[in-house]
Amino acid sequence: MSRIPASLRRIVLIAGLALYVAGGLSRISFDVDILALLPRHLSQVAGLSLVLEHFSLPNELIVTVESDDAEKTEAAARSLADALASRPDLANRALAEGPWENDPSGLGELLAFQLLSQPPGVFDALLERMAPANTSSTLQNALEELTDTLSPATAAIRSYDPFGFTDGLPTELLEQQQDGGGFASPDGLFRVVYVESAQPLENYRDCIRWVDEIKSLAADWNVSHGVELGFTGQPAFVADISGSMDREMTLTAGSALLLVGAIFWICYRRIRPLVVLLACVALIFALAMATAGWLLEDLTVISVGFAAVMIGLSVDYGYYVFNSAAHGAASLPDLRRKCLSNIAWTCSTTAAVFLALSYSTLPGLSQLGVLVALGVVIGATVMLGIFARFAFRHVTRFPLPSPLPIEHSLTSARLLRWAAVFTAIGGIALVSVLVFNGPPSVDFSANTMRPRKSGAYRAMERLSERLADDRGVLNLVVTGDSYEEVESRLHEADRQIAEAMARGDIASAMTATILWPSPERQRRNLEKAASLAADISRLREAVLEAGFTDQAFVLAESVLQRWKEWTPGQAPIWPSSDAASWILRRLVRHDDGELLAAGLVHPVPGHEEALLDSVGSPGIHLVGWDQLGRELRREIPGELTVMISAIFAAVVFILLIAMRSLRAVIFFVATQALSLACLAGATALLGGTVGLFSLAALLLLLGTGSGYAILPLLALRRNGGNSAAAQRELALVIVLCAASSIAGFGALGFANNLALAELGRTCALGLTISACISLFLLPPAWEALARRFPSRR
Amino acid sequence: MIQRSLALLLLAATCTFAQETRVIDLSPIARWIERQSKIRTIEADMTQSRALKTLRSPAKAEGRFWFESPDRFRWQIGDPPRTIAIGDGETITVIDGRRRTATRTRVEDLKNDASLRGMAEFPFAPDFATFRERFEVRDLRIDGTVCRVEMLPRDPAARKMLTRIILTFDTESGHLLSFEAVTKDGSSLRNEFSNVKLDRKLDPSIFAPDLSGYDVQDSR
Repeated sequence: MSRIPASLRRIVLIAGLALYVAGGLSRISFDVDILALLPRHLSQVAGLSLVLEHFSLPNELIVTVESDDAEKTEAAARSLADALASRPDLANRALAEGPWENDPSGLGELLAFQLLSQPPGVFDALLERMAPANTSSTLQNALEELTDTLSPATAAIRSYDPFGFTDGLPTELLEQQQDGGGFASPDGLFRVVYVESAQPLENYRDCIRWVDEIKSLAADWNVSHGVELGFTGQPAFVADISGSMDREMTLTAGSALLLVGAIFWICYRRIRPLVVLLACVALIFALAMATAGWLLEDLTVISVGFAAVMIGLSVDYGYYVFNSAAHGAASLPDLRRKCLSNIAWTCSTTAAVFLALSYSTLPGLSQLGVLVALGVVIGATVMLGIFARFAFRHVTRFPLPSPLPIEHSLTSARLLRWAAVFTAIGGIALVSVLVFNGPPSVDFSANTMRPRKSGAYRAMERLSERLADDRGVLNLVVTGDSYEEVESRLHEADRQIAEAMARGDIASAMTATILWPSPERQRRNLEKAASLAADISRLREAVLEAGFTDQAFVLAESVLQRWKEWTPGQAPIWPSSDAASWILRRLVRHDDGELLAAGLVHPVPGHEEALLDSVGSPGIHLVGWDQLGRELRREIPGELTVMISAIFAAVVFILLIAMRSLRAVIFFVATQALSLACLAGATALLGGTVGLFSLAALLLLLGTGSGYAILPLLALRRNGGNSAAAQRELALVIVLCAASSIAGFGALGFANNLALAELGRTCALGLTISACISLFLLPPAWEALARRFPSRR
Repeated sequence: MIQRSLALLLLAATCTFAQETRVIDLSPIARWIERQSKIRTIEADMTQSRALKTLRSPAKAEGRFWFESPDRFRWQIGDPPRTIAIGDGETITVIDGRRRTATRTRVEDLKNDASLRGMAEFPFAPDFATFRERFEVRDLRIDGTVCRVEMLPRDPAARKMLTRIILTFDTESGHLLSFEAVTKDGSSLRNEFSNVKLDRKLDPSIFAPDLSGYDVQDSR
């Protein structure tokens, strides 16, 4: 077989890589759900995931319309709905009022459906009221009630329901629809238009494109209306968060790249190696991203941060390769050999620590760990394979001065002395803050995971304020494998709620029990109602004779008509009208074979915890965002502490074996403890809080920052405890590595997602502290102690 | 011809403008409220008519009304009473005589029940300033001694439901003659008062009904 020419091999390799990268990048998608960052085994996370997965309406955008005049707001909302509905390519429907306003018979269908699932006693009593012998007295009673009642609501319902179809059914749903039905605030100044997309929104790119088109159409329309508009709902959240994730991935990676380039320039003052280094980093980034696209389903907001972290870490290998080339390598194989052992060691330990994160119960952190581990391995390979070749050639043709000017400045005795003094003063000050002001406050609420700026969040907050204040409300979700199982669990949930209400834990509650169908009762009641459904004209005559108008019979006719159309064999029967589907969409789900019913519980403030203990059993979840924060606070610190301790213990164990010195281990532990205390002090001083992601940041700090303390300890051993010599040897390496990692994490500190920003800020601050203490304090402290207590070995 | 048309148009426009900007003299209302504030008790017969789109003719009921300053009232429909509403300033109890049930509601929880809230705030406002804060008077006409006031509440939530409220009273005696609320769906509720007696001593049991045998519930 003839040998393939090198140029062809290269072309095939490049083409293969290009295909790999393009394929991987095209597969990347984002999971904007903050619950995707949290452990699924937690009950609140599991329950809230069910709520979001089944009741969040992924194709429905909510447009809020607000002005200082109720009539203007109403006219504007209707006009906007018409404008949106006139674009069938964009909107399947746009509603400024309940579908029942234009089609009241839809409510009749819902009522017909509800009544069919009533117990036989209740249903038979209704049929009895309409039996020929009783029709007249039933209508007479209705008239008397209309005459006597003081309640406009009762009058309104009875006037349209003289036979009492709604008697015994909870009227909250009906009253809710009359009272704006989720479309208008009580004063009418705030209204909502619900827009359903013409096409299913398959991914975040679809969401961004569709929401942008709707916003643009609404902005054009608003030129002549001058009302305040807001956009929220699931597509708006996805568009907002994914859009910012997309931007942030590029921005944080770009700014990290710029800072890394600036650091390289300050140290070496060479343009061409800098350009090649940045090109290599870009290649690593593309390869790692493509690998992520191939390997992982969806990137969470936290894994987006991996790009900046990976750039910060993999560029270290580039610095090391270039520095080694500058300090004399006989040949390219010699350079690679010299670098391989060091890079392989650091790369594998870093990758190992980050891979250990994949065991974290926090999916976002676990994903980040896998991505960074992959990224540093790719980084090491690219730097040794591509950058080493260029670095060797460049340095051979244009040798660098030795020592470099920056190296000379960094290792001057004067600078090291002052740096030690400043670090010591800074350390004492930060520890004092910690001692006297106490540790930073703790915040595990879901707010710490939301985007910093988001129009969708703002609009949702305004909606909660003006239309439906659901703050503090708990969601009830009931699941089951069959209609009977869901029904029995709904009754169990009702029982638990009633008991909690009797204890004073619940102010009010609403469950979907009344809307859940019973196929068996539907069959039985439909058979019983068959004769009545054929008796529509008799009943209409009776209504008119009693003094009512045609309108009083609309509801009854609609119900009876449905009973006539439905057959017992169709059970389980679900209503199909727009009005009924609209009301049911947030309360029950029966698509794709999954059966779920929802509910809302308003707890008495301060009784939430007691409620969570008493309401809930298999298939019954009572969940809320505030409770999620409490659960995280209760569960996560313990889990993370175990994990951090395990990794720390492993690092200490490895160090003990490698150095065989108890004193070195004590110094390492003391350095980490001091760094941690200073980090806590600095966080408190800056008004920061400790949350889920600052604790997670400690894991990353262990992965990236512990090396700063290990390197000086190794150098001290090599240099016979001479701190100045150890500092001279390591100053540039530690400064370069720390600066690039700090640049990577620091860029994340400006991320729009608060969790990602918290992670980035904590890591950048922690690395700065750790690098300063390890480089400037640890060596002189070691030397001073060694002088006072000389080692016996 | 064109000039004449233009002149007529201008005249019509001027008249419309004059009508829109007409300042309504509210002094009869101020005097009426002033007189109401001095009344200690009211006792009157009442006819309630409810007109609905679903009824061919309004549903009428006879009843009786009692008021004792500052905030006790009893509103009763039917004889023997079928529906009674009794208020003491803090709670309102609605009694259903046929079903033998009674529901007690605190006045502060009546946000969503304009009808009961209206009863609790009888006679509309404690003073004229508060009346002006609560209501916008759209029209006021006096025919003999009868003053007819057409008004709308300023509360946007109530405004959303109502087309108008019409109030008539006797300017000489100060008696409330009728009260009508017309809603946007075209329904209306009208109460006409007759045989009005002022400042007579009322039997305390009027405001303290015997609820034994009734199913009494507290509503939130």
